[in-house]
Amino acid sequence: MRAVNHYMQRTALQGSPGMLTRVTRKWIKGAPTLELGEHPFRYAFEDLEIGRTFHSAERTIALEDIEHFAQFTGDTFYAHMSEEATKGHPFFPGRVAHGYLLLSFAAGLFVDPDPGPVLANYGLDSLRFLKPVRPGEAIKVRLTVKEKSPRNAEYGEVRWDVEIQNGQDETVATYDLLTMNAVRR
Amino acid sequence: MRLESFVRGQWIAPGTDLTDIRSAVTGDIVAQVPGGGIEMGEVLTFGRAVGGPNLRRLTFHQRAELLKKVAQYLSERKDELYSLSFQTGATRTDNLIDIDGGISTLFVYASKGRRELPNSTFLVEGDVERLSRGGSFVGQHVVTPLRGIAVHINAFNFPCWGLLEKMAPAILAGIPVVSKPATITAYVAHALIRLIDQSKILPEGALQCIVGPTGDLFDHLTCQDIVSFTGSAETAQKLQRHPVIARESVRFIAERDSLNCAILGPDAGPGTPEFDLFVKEVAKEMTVKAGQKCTAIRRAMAPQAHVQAVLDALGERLAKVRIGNPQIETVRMGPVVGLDQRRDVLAQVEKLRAEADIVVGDPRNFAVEGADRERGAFLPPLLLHCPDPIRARNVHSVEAFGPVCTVMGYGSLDEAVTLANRATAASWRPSTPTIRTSRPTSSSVSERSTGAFCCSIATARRSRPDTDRPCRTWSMADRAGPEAARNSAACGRSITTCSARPCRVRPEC
Repeated sequence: MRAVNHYMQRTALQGSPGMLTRVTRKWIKGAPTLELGEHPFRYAFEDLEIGRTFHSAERTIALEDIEHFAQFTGDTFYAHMSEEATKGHPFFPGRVAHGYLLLSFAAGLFVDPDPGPVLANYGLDSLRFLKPVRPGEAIKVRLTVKEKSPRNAEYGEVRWDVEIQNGQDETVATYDLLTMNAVRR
Repeated sequence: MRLESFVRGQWIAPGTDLTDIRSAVTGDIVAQVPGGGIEMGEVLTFGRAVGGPNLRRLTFHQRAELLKKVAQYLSERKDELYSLSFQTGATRTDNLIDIDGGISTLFVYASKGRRELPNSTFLVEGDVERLSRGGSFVGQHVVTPLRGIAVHINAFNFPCWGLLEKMAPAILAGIPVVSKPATITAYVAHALIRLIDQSKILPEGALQCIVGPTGDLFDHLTCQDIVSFTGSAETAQKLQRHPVIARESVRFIAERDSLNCAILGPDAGPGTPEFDLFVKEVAKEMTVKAGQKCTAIRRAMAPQAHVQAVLDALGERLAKVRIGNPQIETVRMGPVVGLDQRRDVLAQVEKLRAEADIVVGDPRNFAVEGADRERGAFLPPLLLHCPDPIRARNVHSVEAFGPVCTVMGYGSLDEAVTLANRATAASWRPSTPTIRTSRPTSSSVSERSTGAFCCSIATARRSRPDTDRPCRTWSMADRAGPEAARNSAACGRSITTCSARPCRVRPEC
């Protein structure tokens, strides 16, 4: 596919996030969002607007949650299990929640569970854990439609910009979530 | 048959200065090419003004769909191309590479276009760059088709594949094409373009074809055009020196002479599967397409201790190659493309003989089946041995574009690497190095060394005009020492995956 690029030329666009979102049809952080209306999981592929956003409620992560998750999954890495073991650790101020716990709780916070146009979770890209979450801290999620790619007559791929924040609105984790969404019947 | 050019939506042959094209097999005239009379400036203008907008209004997925339809159309009609192609000296196996390989390249671009490109008319490249601290002013690169025309100048050896594998990425990108086939096999390319035109699948102006000389075409190029050339280093340099190329900063991609090497690992002595594979591949690369392949192995390197065994095994294998009329089922190797090409190959072999001895093959004495040895452009496989490759120059710089290969010994792996890199700049082929390992666990090499395999390699090569010396290593990477392991790791172990060291010649625009 590299050969295709030889026949093309690059242009640098500069502007506000809103302007570039309108030009590229890819939502950029800082561009306007659409929050009125139903949960974004209720819209068929064609009806889902770029920038449509859902803000979740908060959920506090208890120490019991971390221990339950550790025992349930078998992931008993020391940073989740022992205050003592994290002493002097360059990243962790003490015991912290598993990154995968954050992802799992985030899904629990943003999904709209009833059957609807969202057919499947297809994967996630560019996942980064940016700030550790201590027991007793709360997290919440912003979910925004970033990009849509039609696949066939039945469904298309939706790329969501996901940001997990803590109670102080600091970014805890970011990633792109991919779902397959049904087109209008 | 008088060949016509397909320009501005019409088939025309205004020139009066006819050049005869002769069959490689019989020497009879098979086609005539008229020269002159075509207004090249108008050809380019038509492509830019009609073909460009017609393609640019489609999305990548829609263009991919066009390629798929063309491929399907051609698949159903390829017998016509086969019958013509025999006259170029191509055997049925050679045709598989050229014709079926060309069609499958279209399918590959169609499918990759759908899977890897968005359903839009431009690409968004890279991440958003924050230009102000608060993120209220940001930057983003987008990639759009050039607004000019792609001029494709193709080599004689693969008239179908060469044309299609250049055309496919251009059409997918959204730029119209004017294709110029090499004259000596132009009748095959001409038939191919006729089929594509008859299919009426591509929009008007997307594809034009000039048979015969290009006249003053280069005078009319602009900075939005691109020239993609495959052929000799000499012609490439001549074209690249055209003042308009520099003045307009026209993108110029050249694929030219190569002196690919294959290296037998020091642990792969006679009796190992790697040794047998090495011999088989070297022999095959000499005889497929009568050695007229830019990917052919020209330098076969073996550890000093195994050189004689390699020469013996190759001699035995090459002795079984039946040469003759490619339409005969049992013939394995046809003639080279024409008498001029045979003269050229023999002249290059003479240069190699200053440093190497012919150990297999006598151009004056060999059997030809079903054709006249002198009227057809026949040659036997010619295997040379260079006893002192470290001091030799010609074996690393002269390419005999025919069934010719030089075996040379090396002392240490470092020496093998030095020899591999000795290919002079003029003979480097801008392409991807093809490293194959032949560990039994991953060695589907033999089964996969078919036409399709060659094509996928070749596709990868074409798609990366980087300056890397192509080189193949046959070795058990896990046993052959750190050097081979490094090479292997750097270049990928799988057979059809080619990766290259990041070394670009042509700066991105």
